[in-house]
Amino acid sequence: MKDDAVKSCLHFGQWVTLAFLLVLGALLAHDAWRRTQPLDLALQRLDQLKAGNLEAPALQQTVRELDYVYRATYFQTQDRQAYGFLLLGSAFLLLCLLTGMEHFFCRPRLHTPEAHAASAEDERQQLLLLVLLASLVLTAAILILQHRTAAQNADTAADTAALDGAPDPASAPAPAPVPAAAPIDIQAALLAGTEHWPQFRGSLLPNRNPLPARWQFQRKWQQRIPLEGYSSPVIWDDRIFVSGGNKSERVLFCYAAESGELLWRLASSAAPLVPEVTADTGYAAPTPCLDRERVYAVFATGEVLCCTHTGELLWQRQLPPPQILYGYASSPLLLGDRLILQYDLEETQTLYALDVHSGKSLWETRRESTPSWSSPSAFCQDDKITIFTAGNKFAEAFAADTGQALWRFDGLGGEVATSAVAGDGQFFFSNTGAITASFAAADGQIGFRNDNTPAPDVASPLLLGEVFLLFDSGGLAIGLDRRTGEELFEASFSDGFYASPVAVGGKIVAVNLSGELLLLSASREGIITEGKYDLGNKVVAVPAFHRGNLVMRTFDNDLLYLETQNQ
Amino acid sequence: MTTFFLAQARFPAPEFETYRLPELVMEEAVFDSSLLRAGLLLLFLFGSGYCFYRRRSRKALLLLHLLGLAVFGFLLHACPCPVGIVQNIAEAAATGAPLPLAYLLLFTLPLLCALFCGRLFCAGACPLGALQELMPGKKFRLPPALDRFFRLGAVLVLLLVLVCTVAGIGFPLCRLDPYLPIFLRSFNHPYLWLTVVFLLLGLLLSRPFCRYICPYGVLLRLFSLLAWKKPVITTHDCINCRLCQQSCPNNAIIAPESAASPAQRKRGLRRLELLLASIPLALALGGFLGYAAAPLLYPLHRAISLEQKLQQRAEPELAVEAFEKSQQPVTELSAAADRGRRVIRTGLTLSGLLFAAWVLAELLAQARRRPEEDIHCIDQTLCLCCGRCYQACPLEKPRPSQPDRRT
Amino acid sequence: MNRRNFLQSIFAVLLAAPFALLFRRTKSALPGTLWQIDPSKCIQCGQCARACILRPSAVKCVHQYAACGYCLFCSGYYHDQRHKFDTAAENLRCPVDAIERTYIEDPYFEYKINEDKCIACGKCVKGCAEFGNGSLFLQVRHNLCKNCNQCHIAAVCPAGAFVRVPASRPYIFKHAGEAK
Repeated sequence: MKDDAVKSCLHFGQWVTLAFLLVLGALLAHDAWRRTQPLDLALQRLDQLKAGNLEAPALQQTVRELDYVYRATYFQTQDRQAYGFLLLGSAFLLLCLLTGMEHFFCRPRLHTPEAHAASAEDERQQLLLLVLLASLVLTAAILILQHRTAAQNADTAADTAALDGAPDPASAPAPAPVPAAAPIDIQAALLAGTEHWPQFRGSLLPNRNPLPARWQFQRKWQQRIPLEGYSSPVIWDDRIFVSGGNKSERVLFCYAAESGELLWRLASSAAPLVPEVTADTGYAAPTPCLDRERVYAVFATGEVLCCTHTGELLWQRQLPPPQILYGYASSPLLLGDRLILQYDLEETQTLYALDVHSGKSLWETRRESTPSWSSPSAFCQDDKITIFTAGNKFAEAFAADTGQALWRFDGLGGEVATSAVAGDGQFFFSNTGAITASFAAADGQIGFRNDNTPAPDVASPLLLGEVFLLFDSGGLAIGLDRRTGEELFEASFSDGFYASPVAVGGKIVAVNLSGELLLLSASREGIITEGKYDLGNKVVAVPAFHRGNLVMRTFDNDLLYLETQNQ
Repeated sequence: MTTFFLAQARFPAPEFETYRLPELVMEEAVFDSSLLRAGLLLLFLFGSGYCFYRRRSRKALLLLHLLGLAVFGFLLHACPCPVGIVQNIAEAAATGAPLPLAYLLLFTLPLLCALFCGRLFCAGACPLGALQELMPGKKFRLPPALDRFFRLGAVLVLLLVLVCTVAGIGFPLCRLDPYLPIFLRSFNHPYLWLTVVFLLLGLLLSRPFCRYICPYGVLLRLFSLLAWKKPVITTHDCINCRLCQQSCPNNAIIAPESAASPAQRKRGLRRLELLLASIPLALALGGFLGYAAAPLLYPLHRAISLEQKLQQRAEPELAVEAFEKSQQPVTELSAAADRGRRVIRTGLTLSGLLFAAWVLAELLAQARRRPEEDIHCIDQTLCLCCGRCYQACPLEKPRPSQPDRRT
Repeated sequence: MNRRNFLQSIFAVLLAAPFALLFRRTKSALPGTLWQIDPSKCIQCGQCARACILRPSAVKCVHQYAACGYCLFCSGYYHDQRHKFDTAAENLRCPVDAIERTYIEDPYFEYKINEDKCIACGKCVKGCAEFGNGSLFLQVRHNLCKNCNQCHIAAVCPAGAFVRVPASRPYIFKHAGEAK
């Protein structure tokens, strides 16, 4: 009797302790579960709030309150859990104690044998059945799951393929207005470009835009470009194209030349890897280029976009993500039916020729060089086009139709950022730390070489008549004899040149960092400033010409349309 | 390289007049307890051997469990334990990762013990087992066939754990261990709900983790298959009262079987033939299922999932950001991913084959004739040395508290 | 010895043989290993604060004074968008106020991590790495760490910055030997 009484007491105690344990455990687990997520969320919210305009007193107050609540909750939860565990542990020990006491002080209950014992034969049968059933279930489960994963993978693979090469014919907008693969006459296309402003530094052949009638301007319109970029505007007929980009998206914008209205924007945010770039290069340093039907834009993420003048995407291609110091900045060069990209990365340097109709590579030529930021240039003689690239090691030339390397000059150095200019069978190139020289397009024969003159580091040189002109970032303009390389003159300006000067209508149009728009004429004797107009904005982009008027992109991302001021 | 190294010395350290740089003192690592663990483990193995084979006393064993829980569980917070060290061994064997001697000792001692005298490790020296053994509540006995069937789960877990470890996915067992939060006093375990589930299960079933999940238990089972010393329920002549069988919640007691009738024998023979005939089919199915299941493990592998994220051009993600920052070439990553895929695929195929072989072996072993002696005996591969049968047996030596038991 | 015993011993030897091989391999790696963060791989994602099985995390921020610039405007201490350089909550980076700042001499301040408060969120580490000397970084503190066989942070670290280090050199500093 006494034994039974003790036993029931112990049992009661066990159940009470067990219930306490379970309830407390559940409460604590619930508390942990309930707190963890909100605490993390509060931390995120705090970060978001702190990114706002903290000068507003209301926001300050919110941040302070949230900060206090977060800390209080965090440390309270921690304390509560520590105490909770102590309690749990003690309860568990008590439970063990009670169970132990029962074992040690009470007589174990006597059992009577059960009447029926399971037959071994039945057991075998059951086990076999269970195994069979389980293998069926397992097979089904694995097959279904595997099928599902495979389907998912196939989906993403299809997406990737669609982005990689030509767009999927079903999903891509039908390029109706574009005669799909009409052969393009390169000479005619290049000639047509001279009437417009289709690429970096105007057009490949001498540009035929008229100069402004007077060097006095007024702003016809001004538009803020939504995304930053150091690329220059390009123009065809009445449409102005500029690119901009940041880490999350890269966009091509089209503005109406008449009104300044934003006609359309075409965004790309599909790059798998967004490389780190420095703030003074940005994601949209390469200048877009265009022909009669299409616009091509390249970004520092290796994304190449092609669309119509009305903003319909024709194709998109992802080149290997560019890993290069500062960021990828080389502008594309359009040669009729092929888009030439000097794709110099940290690891590999490749010259791409992309088919303008599909974006597929016509050829790819690996260059053994070191990274550079220079853009390719080309020289056309009859039907033969030679592409010139300058890298940190070599100056090289390639055949435009096959991509075959023609010749190579070893001995460039420094960080090459400027681009060459072509004229009468020669490429003229100058970059500080690299070389100042001219190369024959046909065989790479050095025309002249001048190692004694200062050389530009950002702005590309240009040719005007007899003179090869260099503008450096210190504000110095140097004239060299285009045949002998002999230094003719030096002139200094009030600020450095980052935007490459261009030659239009027999004059030089240059803009320096402080926004002085200069009209210069140069001869063997020297350089003369014929006109000066102060924009009042810092400028690093090349000015573009539109029917005797100027389109400028300022450093602050304003797009200016400057028309000649009437008398 | 990373901003971290670029960032050095943007601001040179100033030269102070009076101020002296505080010394940066970092705490030494807390005492490395693994060798101590190994020593204690040896002691506990001796202890449980003494309690189980000499004292033949459940009370002593329970005390030992309590001691083991306190020492290994709460003082030494369980980790690393022999159960988890299965993974270290697999990793060391596959990749040549360093393996401390103490870990090897912790892993080997219980197995050697099992090779000579059964699964004594499960009785007190394992904190996970001790916790379950000490759980109160009524322990229900599952039907033997179901119990055997669920035990296959442990084999599956062992094979999966081995594949994951060798493929470099990490140590899944340590991540999922349901009792670890208790020993670490942590509420921040990502699988806290598993703890709750297993604790509740432990109220109704005897040692659910040990029997159905523990991969180390599978090894112990293998090693104790032909153990020299076997537990005996009673030294007296068994009277076949079946009390021991009913008292064992782990289904580790084999009852004598009456001679089969010719009909039964015939049926058994047919089943055996069927099983033997299905060996190739079963092996093929196992291998195929393993092969087919491989893509399910891919997302867990770091290199494979990273490669996939890169390909999918998903939203900028932390892993992708880190990868960019590391400037590791993509080719290296895809090589690692390929390697991972290969290991997982072959590993799972092999596992499927092995698992099928194990199941077949177990089914075939069922066809083996049971002991001819007409007594109840313990299957030492399944016995967790809890001592309940000693307590239940009416023939066991009389205890002082129950003087009148045998009369 | 009967047949059964003979088979038994063969089986035993077969089972035990692999360990002999493993024993040979372990000789060189007698001491244990510990988990540590390689600061050069760390991207300060904040998982250290969340994923550690302990709460607060066994990871803490460490200040390597020798590399510190003692800046007046510390980018680990002040938030990027702070509008004033004062100690109001909205201007400070640390969400738990674990960075203590003391004036030394004009214009220098000493920044000290209060480890009782630090939750290893890594915000100050990120700030210091981006704009400062990178003298703040996260480390697993071995007096707190339980040295789990599989570190729960290591399993989720997106940068794979968790490595096993020999117990004799349990911390990874920028310049070895600067700290004692």
